[in-house]
This record gives sequence, structure tokens and C-alpha cells, in this order.
Amino acid sequence: MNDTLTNVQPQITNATEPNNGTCWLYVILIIIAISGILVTLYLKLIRPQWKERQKTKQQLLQQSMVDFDNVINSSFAAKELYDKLKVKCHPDRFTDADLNKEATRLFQEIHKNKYNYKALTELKEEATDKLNINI
Amino acid sequence: MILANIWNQVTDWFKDRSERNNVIKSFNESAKMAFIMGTAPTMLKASYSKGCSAYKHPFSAWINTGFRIQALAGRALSKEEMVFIGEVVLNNEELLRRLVALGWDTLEVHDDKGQYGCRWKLIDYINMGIMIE
Repeated sequence: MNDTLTNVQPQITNATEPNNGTCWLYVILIIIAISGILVTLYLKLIRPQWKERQKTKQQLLQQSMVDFDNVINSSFAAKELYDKLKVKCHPDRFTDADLNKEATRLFQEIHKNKYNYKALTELKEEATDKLNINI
Repeated sequence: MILANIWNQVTDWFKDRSERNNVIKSFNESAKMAFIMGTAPTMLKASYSKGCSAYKHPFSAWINTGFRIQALAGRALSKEEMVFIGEVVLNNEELLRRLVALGWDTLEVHDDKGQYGCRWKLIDYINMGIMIE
């Protein structure tokens, strides 16, 4: 009985080996198929979107450098200066037609640059010169 | 070809990270100098925050999408001051575009204590003149 089993054992092993090989072949084929799908998805969907985003991003970043000193100064000093300028440069304070026109323009500029301390400082200088006022 | 593209994407990601760090660093440097010189009564500090997932846009980064400005030292900020600081950032077009392009989607201005503060959805304030979905 033992002899018979000993003789049969190598045959059993040989019979199972081709099945293992086929199984691994299927695994490899599935991996290749999944890789192919992923590469196709990347080329068709992700890459064009990425390229488009990069292009838009470059357009956005092609700006002059941000003046952080002005941002910080504006955060604390712009409101006070704006409040002062909007009173001093109000068009109703100027009865002369030319001055009134200039004051209207400056008033609009002041309102537009409400949050920009640097621009408000320049407008203050301009108002002092053109409207003959002390600020 | 594909490997080169993937490599470019990886290098772009690192460049973006570097640029984001530069923005934070420059802001903090200016805030520190303004506080030392006495032009700012409160020392502000910019940092990353988690951000709000509802404010996401196509340029949003994967993580840390919030740009938080917080009072660090000096006197506490009032609500009006916090709103004004936020408005200053939102009205600075160059800074706003840079923040959006570098992956931030939420602006937060906080007091030095707890989570009391204001926040804005950045993409609502940008006027890019180009189409984004």
C-alpha cells in the first residue's frame, strides 16, 4: 500500500503544476489589462486636465510680486486714512467747478482703493496738491 | 514619455509646495517687521489650516487648503478688524490670485484664542477673466 502511494505522489505533483502556471498567467494578464486601463485613463482624462490646469495656473501666477508690507499696513492703517480722505475730499466741499470735478474723480479713486494703504497715501498727496487742502 | 509626464507632475507639486511656503514666510516676515516698527498694533501670523471642504475649487490642494491669519501678539483683534483684514486680502487681486493658484480655497482670520474668527470662500472673490469649472 505504501509503495503504491509513493509511486503515485510524483504523478499527483506533476498533474497540479500546469494548473498553477495557468493561474499565474491569468494573474499577469489581469495586471497587464488593469495597467492598460489606468494608462489609457491617464492619457485621455487626467493628463489633459492637468495640462489645462497648469496653463491656467501659469496665467494666474504671471503677476507681479505681492507687496506684503502694503498688505500688513493696509490691515491696520487703511481704514483710518480712508475715513479721513473721504471727508476731506468729498465733492460737496468744493463749489468751484474745476475743483469739484477733480474732487469727484479723487473721491471715486479713494473709494476704489479703500483697502490699499499705498494707493491711499498717493491719493492723499495728489489731493493735497490739486485740491489745495491740508490732510 | 509617460514617466517624464509623471516626473513633471511630481516636480510641479514640489514647486507649488515651495511657493506656498514662500507666501507664508513673506507674510510672516512683513507682519513681524511691522509689529517691531510699531506700524501694526497686533502681530499677525499666517499659517496653513485644514480649510473648508465646501469651498473647494479645481485648483484646491489635497490637504491644508486654508490660509489662516491669526493674531499672535499685541492687542486682541475686534470683529471689525478681523473683517477688515479679510477684506484687505480679498481686495488685493495679486495676492488673491496667488492664493487660489497655489491651492488655497479658504481664507480664515482668527483671534489669538480658540476658534473665534471669520472665513471666506476665496473663489467667490476672484475675477480671473478665464474660465474655470
